[in-house]
Amino acid sequence: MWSGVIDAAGLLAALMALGFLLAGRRRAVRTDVRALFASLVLIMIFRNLDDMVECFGGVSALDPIEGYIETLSPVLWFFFFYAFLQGSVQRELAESEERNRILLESLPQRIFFKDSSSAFVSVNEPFARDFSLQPEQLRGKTDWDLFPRELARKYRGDDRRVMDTGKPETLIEKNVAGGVERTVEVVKAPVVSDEGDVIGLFGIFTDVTERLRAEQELRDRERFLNSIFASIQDGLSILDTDLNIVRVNPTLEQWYAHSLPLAGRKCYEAYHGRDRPCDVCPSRETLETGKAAFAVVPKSGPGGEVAGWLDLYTFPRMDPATGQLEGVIEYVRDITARKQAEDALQRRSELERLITSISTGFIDLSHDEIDEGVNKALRTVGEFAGVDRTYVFQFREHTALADNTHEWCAPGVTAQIQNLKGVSFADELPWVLGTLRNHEVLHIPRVADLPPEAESERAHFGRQDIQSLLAVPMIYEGTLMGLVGFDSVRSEKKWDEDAIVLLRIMSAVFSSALQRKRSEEAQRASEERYRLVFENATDMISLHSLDDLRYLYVNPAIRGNLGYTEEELVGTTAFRWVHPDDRDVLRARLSEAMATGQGSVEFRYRQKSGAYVWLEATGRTVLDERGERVALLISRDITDRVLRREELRALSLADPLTHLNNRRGFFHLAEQQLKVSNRTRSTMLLFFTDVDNMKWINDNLGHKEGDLALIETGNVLKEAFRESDIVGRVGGDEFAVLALQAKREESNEILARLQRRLDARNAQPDRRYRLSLSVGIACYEPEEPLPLEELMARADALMYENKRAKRSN
Amino acid sequence: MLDRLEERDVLMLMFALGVMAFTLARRRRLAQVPAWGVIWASFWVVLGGWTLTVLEGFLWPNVLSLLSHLCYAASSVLAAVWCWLAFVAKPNEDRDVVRGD
Repeated sequence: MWSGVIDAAGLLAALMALGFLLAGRRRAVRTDVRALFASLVLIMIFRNLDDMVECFGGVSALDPIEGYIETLSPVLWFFFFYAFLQGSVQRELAESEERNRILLESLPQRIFFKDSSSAFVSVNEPFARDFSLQPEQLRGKTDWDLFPRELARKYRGDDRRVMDTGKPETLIEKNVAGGVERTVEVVKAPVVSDEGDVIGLFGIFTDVTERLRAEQELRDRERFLNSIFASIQDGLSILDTDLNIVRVNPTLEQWYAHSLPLAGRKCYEAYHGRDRPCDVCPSRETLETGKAAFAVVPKSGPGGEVAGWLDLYTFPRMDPATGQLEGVIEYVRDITARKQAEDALQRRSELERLITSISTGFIDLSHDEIDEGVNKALRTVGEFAGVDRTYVFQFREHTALADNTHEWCAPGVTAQIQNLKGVSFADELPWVLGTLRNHEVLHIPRVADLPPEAESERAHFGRQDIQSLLAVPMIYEGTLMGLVGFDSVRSEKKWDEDAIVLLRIMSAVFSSALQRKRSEEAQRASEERYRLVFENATDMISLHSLDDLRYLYVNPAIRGNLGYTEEELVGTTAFRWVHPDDRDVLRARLSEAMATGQGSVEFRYRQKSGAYVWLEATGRTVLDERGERVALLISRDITDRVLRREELRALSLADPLTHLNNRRGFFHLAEQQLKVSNRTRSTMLLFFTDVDNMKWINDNLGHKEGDLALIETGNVLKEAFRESDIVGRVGGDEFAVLALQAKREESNEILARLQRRLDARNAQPDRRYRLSLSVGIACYEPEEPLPLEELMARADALMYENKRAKRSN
Repeated sequence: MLDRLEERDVLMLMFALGVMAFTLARRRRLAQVPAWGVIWASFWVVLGGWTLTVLEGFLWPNVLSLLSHLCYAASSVLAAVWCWLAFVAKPNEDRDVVRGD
């Protein structure tokens, strides 16, 4: 039962298969194969139908033949499979041939097959086209038929060699086709039979004329670009997108010779010795933005130090085919020299500004501000020059000793100013002192290298940890007044010319300023001394206006002598207090005294008490603090002297004929003046005169004329000498004059003045005789005091020598 | 039971084993046949049927006979499937198509 059902299902399936076979439109298998399988399906139908009938108890009409038919079934299966195999092989062969044909025809290369005699068996279309022939027309032809003789011989030789050796060859050779010479690349390979015999060869040749020309052009262009790449004196570096160096030019390799090879490394490793990208990098910027960028970057040296500066221009490197960013081109220009020049220029500019600032800064500094100005300048210059210590030494006592008067120290550097007071350069730094005295710059880049004669200096500098030193002498009007210097204690340092120039200028500015300070201090001291003298003098000293003699200033002695306070006198004219009878004399004599700088005047002056005192005043013009001319009067109270003089006169000490002092009066006054001279340490001159030819005048012209001659002589003497000098008639025709406060060298001048007075007298008309005097002069020196008589005797002796000399002439 | 064994069945089985050896030897090339797995399974199933037909002459005639009928029916079903795939159904890939003459 079940078998019948199964057979029925099988029958149904077989019928469906037959239906598909007959109705199917696909031509997936060949017809013969389809027919074979149809036979198999029919057998399945017979078998299933026969079995189904038997199972359901019937007797199939097919039963007698079903067994035999089914026996054919395996045979049909075999043929079915075999037919498939046969169809597959033939199809593959056909397809292979078709593919080969299409391949041969579609290839641009020229392809040929030759037999063992080098005759063409077959060629492809492009090959035949070169000779304007069809492929079949070339069959049986040889190279001799197609190419020039020489080429044909060569080709034949190549063919024989390939076939003899059995090894393929690739040849680049000249070829002529259609009268056009070209370069071809030929691959020739032997064709071997199944038995291993070489039965011919096939060749593929390609016209490489254009390719070679293009390659040559490419090589030329590459060489050209390489030459440009190599000849550019600026650096070129090609980076990929990961900042890897792809290529650099020789200039860049030369700059970074310490870091070779550059290619293949990260740019920040090769160029900057860093292990990560730089914070500021135009290449990164270009990679991020796709735009050109620029930066000034340091050029690292072998030790990572900054060895220079570079202008770095970066440009995007685009793939011409895709337009994608594929890296960066770095164009690098060494600007070290330019930057150094700029830095030097800037430093020079700063230096000039600094010098100008320091120089002009001292102009307006007052005396009290100079020290602070020097300290400030030392700090400014020290910071600018990058030194550890700047300082000023000033010599005193003719360079015997020196003091460190000003100093600036960099942070962390020990100050030495307190330890360097009263330094004896001659003992401790003789070598330095010698250099400074020669007005030379002292430049010691390395203290350890000081010469043996500077052993003392080496020890001295060593105590201050000085490693390098630069010092310039401070010279004012040719005199060495000190030095200004730089110290380097933390490292050795060699200063350049700019530093020396700066120090020289500082030296000039400081020496001028410090000398000004010294001068002002000296002036102040001098003024102080004068002020002390002025205020403590017993003589009355006063300043007056020139026009009306108004008091401008008076010293305290005025109050002591006259009773007036300064406030009472300043602003009033001196004439207000002078006796009315003496005002004209005072005005006249004072004008003369101030004009000549000599002479004095006696006048009466009313004290605050109302009483008059006699004053003797000398005057001269001086400049006040504003530069204006004023009158300086130095007055003293001579009331006692005047009273004594009047008293002498009253005691008949005068000569009644000439109204001069007689011998007694002269000696009396002269003795007093000798004492004064000894006290004041002032010299005096004694003139002893005798009237020449007095006897002749008396004898020939009468005694009356002789008396007139004596009177005239007295007048001449009074005119020739100062009023304060003591003049006396000490004998018959002998006169003596004691010139007060007169020096020996003034004697000739006084004699000349006396002679001029005599000449003026003798020049008067109607004179009956010539008035002449013989003079002897003796000088009184307080340092060598002698009695008046001795002084008179010396002068008398000299007078007689003068008289004898006249007579002998 | 041997009376059920027929000589032509044995002969047919021997032929079939020979075909089986042939297909195994050329299996790689025959694999190019469209829906090769289906047609080859159909052959193996019918081969099984023939084998069972011979074996039912020695033992379990009813069971093996039923199984042999089942194999024949299955083989027919597989053949129908192959015919559908090879001649009716549209190909999925061109490589499955073998053009006829």
